[in-house]
Amino acid sequence: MNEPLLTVDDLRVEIPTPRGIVQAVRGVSFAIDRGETFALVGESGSGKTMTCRAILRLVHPPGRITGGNVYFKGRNLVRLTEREMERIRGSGVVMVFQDPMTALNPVLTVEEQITEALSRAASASSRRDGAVELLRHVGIPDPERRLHAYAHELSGGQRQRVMLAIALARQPALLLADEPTTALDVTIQAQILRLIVRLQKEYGMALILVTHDLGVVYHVVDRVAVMYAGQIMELAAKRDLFARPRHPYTIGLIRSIPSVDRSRPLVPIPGLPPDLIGPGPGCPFAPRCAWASDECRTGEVPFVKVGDGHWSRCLKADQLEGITGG
Amino acid sequence: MAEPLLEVRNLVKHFPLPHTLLDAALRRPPETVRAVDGVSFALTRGKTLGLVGESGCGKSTLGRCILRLHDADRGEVRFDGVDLMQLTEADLVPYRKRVQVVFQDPYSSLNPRQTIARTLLEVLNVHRIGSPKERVRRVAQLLTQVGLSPTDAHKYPGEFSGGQRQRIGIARALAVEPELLIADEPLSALDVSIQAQILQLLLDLRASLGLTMIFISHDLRVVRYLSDEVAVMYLGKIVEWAPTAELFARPQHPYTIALLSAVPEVGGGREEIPIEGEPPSAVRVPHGCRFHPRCPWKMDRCLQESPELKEILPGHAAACHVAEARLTGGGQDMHSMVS
Repeated sequence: MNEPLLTVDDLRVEIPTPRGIVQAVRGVSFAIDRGETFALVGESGSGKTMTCRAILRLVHPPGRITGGNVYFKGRNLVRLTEREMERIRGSGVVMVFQDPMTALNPVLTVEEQITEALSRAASASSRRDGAVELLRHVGIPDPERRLHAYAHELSGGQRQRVMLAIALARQPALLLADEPTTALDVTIQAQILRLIVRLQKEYGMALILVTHDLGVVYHVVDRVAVMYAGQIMELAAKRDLFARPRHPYTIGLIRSIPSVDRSRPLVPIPGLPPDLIGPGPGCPFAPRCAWASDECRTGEVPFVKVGDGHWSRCLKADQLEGITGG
Repeated sequence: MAEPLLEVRNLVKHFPLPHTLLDAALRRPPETVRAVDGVSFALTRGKTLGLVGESGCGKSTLGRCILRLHDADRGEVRFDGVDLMQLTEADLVPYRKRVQVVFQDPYSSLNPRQTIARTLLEVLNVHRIGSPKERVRRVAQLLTQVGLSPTDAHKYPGEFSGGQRQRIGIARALAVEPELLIADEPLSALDVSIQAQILQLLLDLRASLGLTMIFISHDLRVVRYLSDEVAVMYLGKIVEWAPTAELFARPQHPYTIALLSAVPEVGGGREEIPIEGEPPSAVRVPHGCRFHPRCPWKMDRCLQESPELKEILPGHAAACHVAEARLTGGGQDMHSMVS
């Protein structure tokens, strides 16, 4: 049996705040194979971005990883020195962010930022050619001229393309994309999503897409983890998740997405997400859940297998059989 | 036919860009952003217009011109028969009560140092609505109406979540019982589950209060649920206008077709009509049809002549030479490529 490319095992992140300790990630586990596309879906504060940052050990202090392991190609990233970790970020695992304006260096040209990421072994002129080639590959028009541009001279969509070119220069085995299209207009979003899918296939990279948008998930990935209150609530192949959701939160999310072509009524999820400072026992979704009973509010809820490659953290998962989101 | 509550005619709002000494020395001509570039429409009482488009298309500027938060350069904004553009600030006051607005980010539009009660009472005081006692009762009633608790009145904006703050923003707009509510991207900053809650709230309030609404949004999915009619804007102009069901069933303008196909739908959406490139800047508006540089179906005529917005199907207007040619029996059939 092949070893997964990335294994996240019982990952925990805590962030001390003046009000108390926020338990941002509470025991997240999943594994991804080489070349696989995977999505972490959830709303603000669900811990999806923090999980990603923790994989790369980019949690801003005073936040810190308080437990768990992250194995990448067999090495435990949590145990690496900062120096070794930098090598991983420089080639193995690369992250692109929602707002490329803040991720790009404002005082370096596009060329300087791409060639910095290209192998030092190559000559200056071949690195320059490489940069042009990468820009052309990510769909930047007139790449020779664009080499000299600064971030502020590019549109939002072009900045995201440049971010992807920089990421590709490192030839990563795993690309982490944190809401890469959220700040973009819908026609540009469609362009960037097509580009990400194409690049992922061409380069054979694995992809973790972090997003709040189930519509985007549907079009891009193979497998999905739905996060809520720092935990994975449901994990399944995309097809199963949309056709046979087995967690009330997933069902609620699917039913609250408006649609262009189906005039079904929207069913909002009542209530608000929980406070992650000292979360109580039981299921964090119970206060908003139509299926919840007393045992949901008191007991520990295990992550159980409900189908082939399909897991749910719900005591009522059996009762949800046959319910669809749509 | 009833007189429309709101009628906008040939509205134009250009923003001059800074013209520096260097620009003058280099003999660069002064440039302007053509944010709203000749927009006309009418809105019947009790109806909701969805105003859709991407960033920079001028939809928010149009909303602000109607509210007279910006003064338009030219054109008319007739509200209940009166051209608001001709009114002095003092004469506008009664209309400020009849036309209200809800913004995208309620946090930046609420005073963080005032309790919710004070914020709402202030609005009632300014417009001299009710006696002091009645005003306190009205605050409690408003909070209940938007799904909050009267006990929330003594809290500060910081104590609420994004969705709750949007409820407060809506309560403040409704406090003066407006006839026209302009909602500028009221759902964009919210999570999906909360977005659906606020959408439902707007639907309920519209039904119970008989509001006329302009709902400004970049999200066609949301617009479909809330609007009776939809206007699609591109680079400062309305390029298509139709009743909602008609627009989604038979979009005519290539930009609308592309927008609809770009929406990432669960369950698969429409056949993708990829449009390449990005919207040009509203400073250098393309000659001819503004959309032609990105249009997969453009004809020679589109490069030369700017199309007028005209009724090409019953009750359905579009500004497109291609759609017009197709409907009158010439040209390529876009829909054979789409549906």
